[in-house]
Amino acid sequence: MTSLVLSTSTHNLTFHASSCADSGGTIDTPFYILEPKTKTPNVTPTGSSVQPAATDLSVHDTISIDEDGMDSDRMTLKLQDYDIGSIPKSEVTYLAEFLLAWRSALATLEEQVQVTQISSFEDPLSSDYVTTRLIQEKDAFIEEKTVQIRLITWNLHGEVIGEDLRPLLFGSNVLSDSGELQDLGIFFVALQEADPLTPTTLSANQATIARWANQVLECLGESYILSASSELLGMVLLMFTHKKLASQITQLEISSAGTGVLGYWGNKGAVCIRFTLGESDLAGIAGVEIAVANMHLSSGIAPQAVERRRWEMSELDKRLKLPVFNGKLFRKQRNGGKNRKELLYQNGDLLDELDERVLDTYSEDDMVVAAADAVAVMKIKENGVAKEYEAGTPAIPTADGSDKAATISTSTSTTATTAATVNTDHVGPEKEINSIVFILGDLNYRLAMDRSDISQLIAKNDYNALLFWDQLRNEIKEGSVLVGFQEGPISFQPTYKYDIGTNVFDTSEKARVPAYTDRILYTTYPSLAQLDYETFMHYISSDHKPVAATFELRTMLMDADKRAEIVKRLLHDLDARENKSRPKVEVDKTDLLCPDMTVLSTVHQTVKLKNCGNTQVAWEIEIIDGSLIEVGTPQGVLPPGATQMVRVSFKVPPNVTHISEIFILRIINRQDYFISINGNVLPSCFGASLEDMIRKPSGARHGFLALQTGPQLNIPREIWKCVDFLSTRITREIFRRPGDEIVGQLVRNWLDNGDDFDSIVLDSLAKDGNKGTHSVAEQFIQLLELVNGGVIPEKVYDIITQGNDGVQLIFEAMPRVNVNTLIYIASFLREVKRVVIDFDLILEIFDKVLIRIPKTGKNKSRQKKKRLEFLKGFIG
Amino acid sequence: MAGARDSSSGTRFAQFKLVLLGESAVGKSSLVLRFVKDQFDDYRESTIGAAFLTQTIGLDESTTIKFEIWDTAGQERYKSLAPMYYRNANCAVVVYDITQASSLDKAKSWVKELQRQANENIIIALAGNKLDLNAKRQVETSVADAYARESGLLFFETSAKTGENVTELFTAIAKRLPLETASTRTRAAPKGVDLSRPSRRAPAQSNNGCTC
Repeated sequence: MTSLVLSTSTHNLTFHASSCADSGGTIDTPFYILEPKTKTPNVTPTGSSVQPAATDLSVHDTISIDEDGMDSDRMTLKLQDYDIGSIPKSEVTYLAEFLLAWRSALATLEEQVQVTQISSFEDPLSSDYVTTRLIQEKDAFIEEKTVQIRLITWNLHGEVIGEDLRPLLFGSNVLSDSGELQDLGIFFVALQEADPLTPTTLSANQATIARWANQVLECLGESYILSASSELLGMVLLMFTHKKLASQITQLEISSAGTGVLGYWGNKGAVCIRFTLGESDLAGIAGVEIAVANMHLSSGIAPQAVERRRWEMSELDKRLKLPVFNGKLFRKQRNGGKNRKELLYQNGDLLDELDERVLDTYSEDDMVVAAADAVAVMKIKENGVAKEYEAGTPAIPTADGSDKAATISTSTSTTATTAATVNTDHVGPEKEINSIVFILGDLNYRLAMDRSDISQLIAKNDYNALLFWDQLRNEIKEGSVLVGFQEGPISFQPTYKYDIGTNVFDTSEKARVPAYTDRILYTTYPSLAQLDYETFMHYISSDHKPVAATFELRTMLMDADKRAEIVKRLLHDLDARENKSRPKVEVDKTDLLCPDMTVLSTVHQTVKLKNCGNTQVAWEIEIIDGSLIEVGTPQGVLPPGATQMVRVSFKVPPNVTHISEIFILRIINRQDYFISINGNVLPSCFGASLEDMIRKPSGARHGFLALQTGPQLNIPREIWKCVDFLSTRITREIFRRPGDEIVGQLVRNWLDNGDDFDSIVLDSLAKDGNKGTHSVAEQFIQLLELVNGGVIPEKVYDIITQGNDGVQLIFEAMPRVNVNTLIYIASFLREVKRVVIDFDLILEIFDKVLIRIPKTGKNKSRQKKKRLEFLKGFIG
Repeated sequence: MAGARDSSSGTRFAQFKLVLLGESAVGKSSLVLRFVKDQFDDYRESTIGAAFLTQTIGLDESTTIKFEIWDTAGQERYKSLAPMYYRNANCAVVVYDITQASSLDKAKSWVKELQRQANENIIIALAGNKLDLNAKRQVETSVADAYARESGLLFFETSAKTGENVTELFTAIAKRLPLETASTRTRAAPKGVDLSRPSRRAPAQSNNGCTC
């Protein structure tokens, strides 16, 4: 008797898990009975037959309430289909509390049940043991490290760049002897107008993106990978990460929004990437959130253009689906400018930047119409993207479906997370300090002064004077856009607009005023420092110069190699613990020897199983297909220290000389024992042919007599013995009552040993339902049934079922001993017929055991009739 | 999903059933003992039955594989029980003894049986054990290697005694296993870890709802 009591202290609710060991020592599945105490309503558990077994319960099961009818003052609680108890209707107010307690107690119970089992499918990495130990040892693999972040922005004017990108990518970074970067790095390459723009362009050109990605990777070397890419028409933001950092980048997400033609087209807008660096829940480290936006805003020097850029910022602030940007890009105006609609329909500077070759083939009206069509599609797409994003897929602008695009996009989707996880509940003070935002791109702000003045200041390298007129700096100062963002000191001349292929400012008719259109800004972070902010005059493929900045971030990072070492050790420990905690058992023997078995007897064997471990042992017996072995109790549970006899049995079949059987005693979660049973079987008349019986007149166990020398018997002595015994004891019940197994065994032994029946013993059982006689009768029938070749062999079957007077033919066709035996049995049956009332039943029994039927018999009922007729006629 | 955001998040975990087969006394149990406990017994009793042990290995940074190892008895009289063990196995190590030429024949018959009766995608590795007894070698490496190659088996010569190639054998098997079809899943949130920041679990889509 074992019992398990779990209680939830707060609710005074107790579960009793009780189980009873039966006489064989096995333990039934425990029942869990609900027994609430004083504070909870008075629930009366119903009969134990309807108690649910713990294994059938789950905390997620539904508990329902049945009103027990109008008259009753109680109602029944049901869990699934199980009746778990009843409750007075008057106490219904406690019901919720009660059910809650019930469920929570059940959860505890489930946990308990799980603990005792080895839940082999649990991911070991999430096991309490590994997680706890990892936290304890976190100092061994988490340390402060320096990460270099290099950001590059370049408006390409749709040109293909032929220059070596290395100087731009590496800047003043020190390269090792092998030409590799020494620090762990993350690179962002932000491009604008990466492709020539036409009004019908709907998506970014994946070929261009792939070309850029490959070109940059070639420069960065094999230790870098492309981690993410975010695109919108000509805007491309690529992120490259050192392989050793890649595993530290989590919750990677991308987003984009167009603010161009009609306020939506992607010729203007922003593309973003955000991620968390160095986050580890295990170590309780939140990591740093890093967000980068590549922006391309509308052009123009006029106040309306500044206003439109302000509006674009406000739109991006709202429409970029990454919370880190929301509320940072734009501050609400005290006396708002133009209304949204008006700005929406401004076409911005579309015509300004469209490829001149394209312009030739379109009229200006065509252009606007075409662009409006494109915008309609764009809007749909942006909405679509938003939905995708919310559904948990990364907001990647739909690519043109080329293979290359798919590859690039996949790199982002592997680590992208759902909207639900990213939401940072609106930047609290803690979150604020945990994120860094970089804004870079062609922000298109101009120097609000005359070209001639600018030229003079540039000639004097007086960039501070120039920047005094910088619209962006003034907008930030005014608090209109990018409030709180920092920018490194600018010590280079304006990066726009140059005649392509030169370092000469625009000499075209439009003679645009030089400006610092290309910028890199960031929000401050305690351990973030800007190392450089530069342009490179020798890149002359575009009308913009590229701008680059390097930042150094010191942050807690995990050393993946060290962590892997520790995890390996912990997993090994865990395995050792698991293997150690496996059940320990002793089995007294695995080879069961059974000498001198007798045919048709049932052999019982036992294996002693001892639980010498300190956990419960569950065992079961598995029988192999076709085995003789039968098992009464095929499984059981053994408490620590207990011993149990595992029993199997089998019936020895006729006509075998040896038994060799194997069954499996399985100790669940530990070991299968192969238990062999071997032994010889003594010779027997059961299953022997009539000839063989005659040749062994002293019984089957005494060997053959030589044919010539021995006295020739007319009939087998075994048959004679049975008939001789039975013929003086014929009653109405003969052949109609079962014998006794032990007496049957005795009878078989007498027959096989050549002993005479001990009629004193047999007759002493007369009062006990005449067991002696019935046992002999039963063995007699069995003996006939098992006669090898049959008393009436197959070969005469046709004669029996065809001819009416086949007796003579049959006699001629059968061996002498069969004829004699048949005649002898017939004369005995004649005696039986005189006594019993329904002789036909007896006849049917003998039909079955005397006559061997060929397998290909037809018309069975007719044949049976013929057979019975034959027997009847023969007996007379 | 919210949950474990350790840097190794997105890890895969898979469990595979592995069965050891081979003639009696070629060292199946010893190989398991070396792999699981890094131990060796010079005198080991013959296995009567099938012992069950588990061993986890980190295949790479993001993949953990747990082997559920069934070490079966090699004696001929238990041969009829083997199908019960290899029937659902994902992988099998068929072991022979490099100092007993006959044990390779036995191994070949096991391979044949596995290829006919076992799971059609079963990964089979051939292990020539007792490499520490190289002086008494009867089976040349090239012979076994050629056989393994033509039968599509992984092949290693191992020594349970010295540990040579034992981990390599099991790792090579792990690498061949079809991870994507196995019972892989991302890790559930670890229990009992106090996160030092607000929960991100609550879905709060309203905060980033679309304004257009």
